[in-house]
Order: sequence, then structure tokens, then C-alpha cells
Amino acid sequence: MSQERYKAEILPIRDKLFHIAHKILQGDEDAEDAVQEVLLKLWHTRDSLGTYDNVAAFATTVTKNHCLDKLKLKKRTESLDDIHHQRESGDNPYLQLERINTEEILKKIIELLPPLQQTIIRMKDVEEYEVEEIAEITGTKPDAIRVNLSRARKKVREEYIKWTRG
Amino acid sequence: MRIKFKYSMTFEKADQLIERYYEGLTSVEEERQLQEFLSQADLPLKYEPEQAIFGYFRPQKQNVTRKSFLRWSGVAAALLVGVFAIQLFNDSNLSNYAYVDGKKITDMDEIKLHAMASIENLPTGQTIVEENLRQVSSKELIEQQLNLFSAFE
Amino acid sequence: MRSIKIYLFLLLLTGFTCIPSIQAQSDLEIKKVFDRYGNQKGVVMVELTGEMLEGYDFSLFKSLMIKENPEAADYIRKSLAKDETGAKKVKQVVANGKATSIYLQLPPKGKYHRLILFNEANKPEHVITLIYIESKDDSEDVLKLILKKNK
Repeated sequence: MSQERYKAEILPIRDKLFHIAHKILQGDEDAEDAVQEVLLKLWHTRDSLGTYDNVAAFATTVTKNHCLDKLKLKKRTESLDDIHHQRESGDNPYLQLERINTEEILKKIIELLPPLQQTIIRMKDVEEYEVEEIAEITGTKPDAIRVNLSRARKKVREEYIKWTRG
Repeated sequence: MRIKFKYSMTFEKADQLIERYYEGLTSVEEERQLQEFLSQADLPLKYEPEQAIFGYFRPQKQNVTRKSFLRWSGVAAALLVGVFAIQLFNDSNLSNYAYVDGKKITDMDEIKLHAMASIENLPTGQTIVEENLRQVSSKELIEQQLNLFSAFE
Repeated sequence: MRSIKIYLFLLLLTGFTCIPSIQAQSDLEIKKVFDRYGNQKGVVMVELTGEMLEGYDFSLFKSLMIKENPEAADYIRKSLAKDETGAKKVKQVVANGKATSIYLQLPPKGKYHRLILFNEANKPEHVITLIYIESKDDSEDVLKLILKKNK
């Protein structure tokens, strides 16, 4: 699927996808994040999307599944919070990590970012997309992407300093 | 001053770019300049987090863009061994892949989407029970339903 | 250093993942189905080794989606009939004398539980789906996960 077809066939159903996400996840912000995550997923697989006769239906399915998974993950996020509490209470589970190397630490930090922030930081800092391009793909304003990118980068720095000097 | 010749940009400029980087305001080009600056040895300690972060992304970038992947002999050797090993075991079940219309796909995201699509094609437990209820004709079928229900206990 | 790491990693992978997988699958009739249809047009074949997939932890996941090819469905049904003989548990839905959905739980090979799932759909288009799963989790649990997904 070409960039043009992606824009012509996927972006127009953005509202519909948002509606599905909203029904499952309730909150506006969660639904918006989910839709952007799905759109970026679809963007990265756009080459093979051409094989599906009904791309819109597939996008709908992916959105539904993705949101259901997110719902399941919410429970897991709570247990992640536990890890953070443990760390603050002095029992540091990452202490061993510190001895491994900075690469392992950064990998872990990035994995703990919210999924949308993970994708955006990877697209900008690894795949070298401009913010404007990511905004176009997700049908959002560049500022919205920047907010997430900035949050992700600041978080990475903050966590990195905590883990290596804490 | 020696420092001016030593580093690829002034500290003032670097500090400014780093600040903009954390606000998500830098362009890809500016980040490349910053990367070049941060990859230099003997930088003041305060740049350590940025050096680590940019140093972490740098090798991944080369994987993605494949710009200069034969840069270091170590990397080259690793690649050679990797490619050799992959070819050697290509026919085995080691790899993750998808074939679409006979065309091979290796991108993990894509493969997973295809896998997901195939699971999506299966009817749900509910559908199966309903289908079977519509044709309760033989004892065998009833047994199958009971099996299905016991699966959900 | 790095090359040694990668080499060791690959060796480990082959040792622990690859060989048991091959052995577990090679005695099955449906392996032929994957070989026969995997690279054809109108077919999507997937193979994932040791990956998490939308929350499911599979040691091996293979799937085949075949569009507009009813003969393939008959061929797969024949293959499944052979694999069924050793199966621990069989579930199926029959429509017009033909099984349109078949789930086989095979006896575990080593520590791998094995599961075959087949479905033939006519609407909106003719699509055959065949999935083979190896998992350390009990295949009953895996089945539960998959069947419950669209609740």
C-alpha cells in the first residue's frame, strides 16, 4: 500500500476507529492514544495491507483487539507501579541492572514508557521521521506528537539518572 | 582557546539544542549534529545522560537506515557470522517470518499483524456452541459441547 | 566480542528452540499443508518462534490463510483426519456434512503442548485458516484464550 492509499483509505476512518476505541476504553485520552498507536502500527505494515480486500474492516479489527489488549494491560501496569514503590523504599530491583550496562538500562526504561510514547520516540530517534511526518500519519497536530515525544525523552533522562546514580 | 577547535560545536549551542531536544523541537538534522557532538570523547560530565541516550539510539539507527553498516570491523564480523548462521538455519524453525502471496516478510510488526489476523478468523467459543446447538443431532456432538463447557470451568 | 555473542546466541536458539520444534511438528500431516500452500498466491503464511503475540505466549506459532481455494479445504480436512487419530481431544463444528471448524489438542511432545485449529469461512469470502501452536502452557488454556477473545 502506497503512502497515498494509506492517506486515502485509512485516515478517513480515523473517527470511526476513535469511536470503537472510546467504546472499549471509555476515556478520551486513552482512546486517542490507542488510535494513534493503531495508525502507526498500520503505517509500519502498510506494504502488506494492500493484500487485504477490505482495509477498513481490518483496521477496525486491529483497533478493537488493540484496545481489548490495552484493557488487559491496565492490570499489569498496576504491578509495574509496585516495582516503582519497591525501588523507592530502598529495595532496588534494578540494582543488578546497573551493573550490566547502560544499554540494558535504557532498553528497559524505554520498554516501560507508554506504548504510544515508545513508538514515537523510536520513529523520531531511530527511524528519523520528522515530527510533522508522524503527525500526518496519525492524523494529529505536530504539537500533540511533540508533547508525547518531549514527555518520553524527559522521562528517559530522568529515569536514567535515577537508575545510574540513585 | 583550544576548546573551540576541539569540539564540533560550542557548548552554548549544544546546550541550546539539548534543551530543544527535550521539548521535542529539534529536527532530524539538528539531532544529527547533536549526535556528532555527543559522540566525542572527553566531554564534561554533565553531558553523560545525553551521551548514553544518543549512544543507545545510534547503532539502532544504522540498523534501520543501513547507511554505513560496515563501519567497524567488529560489526562487520558480527554481521557475517549472523548472515551465515541465518542462511544455515533458514530452513529450520528458527526464524520469524510471513509469506504473503509467496513474498517473504521479515518485519516483526507486520508478521504479528498477520498472525493476529489469522487468529481473528477463528470463530469464538460462543459461536461454536451456538452452531452446535443448532444441530444437536448426535450424541457425539453433545459430548463435544460438554467438552467445550468443561474447558471454561 | 559482539560476534561471539551473536554466535553463541544463535547456537543457544538452535539448541533450545529450533530442534524440539522441528521434531514436534515433523510427525504431523499438516506440516505438508504448510509446505504445499505456504508460498502460493492468495496465501498468507506466518511463523513465529518464542514470541508473545497479543498476550499469548507461544513457543511456536504457525498460521496459514488461504483465500478462494475450496480444494485446499478438502485437502486440509484429509490431513487433519490423519492427525486426529493421535489427538487427545477433538472439537468440531459440522455444516452440510463437512467440518467447518476443527480444533485438535495433540498429545504433548516433550514439554510442548500442541494445538491445531482449522476454520473454513464462506462469508464474506471463502477463507481457510489453519493454525498450529506449540506452547508450554496447557493447550486447554491457550484454546480458552483464543476462543474468548471476542467476548
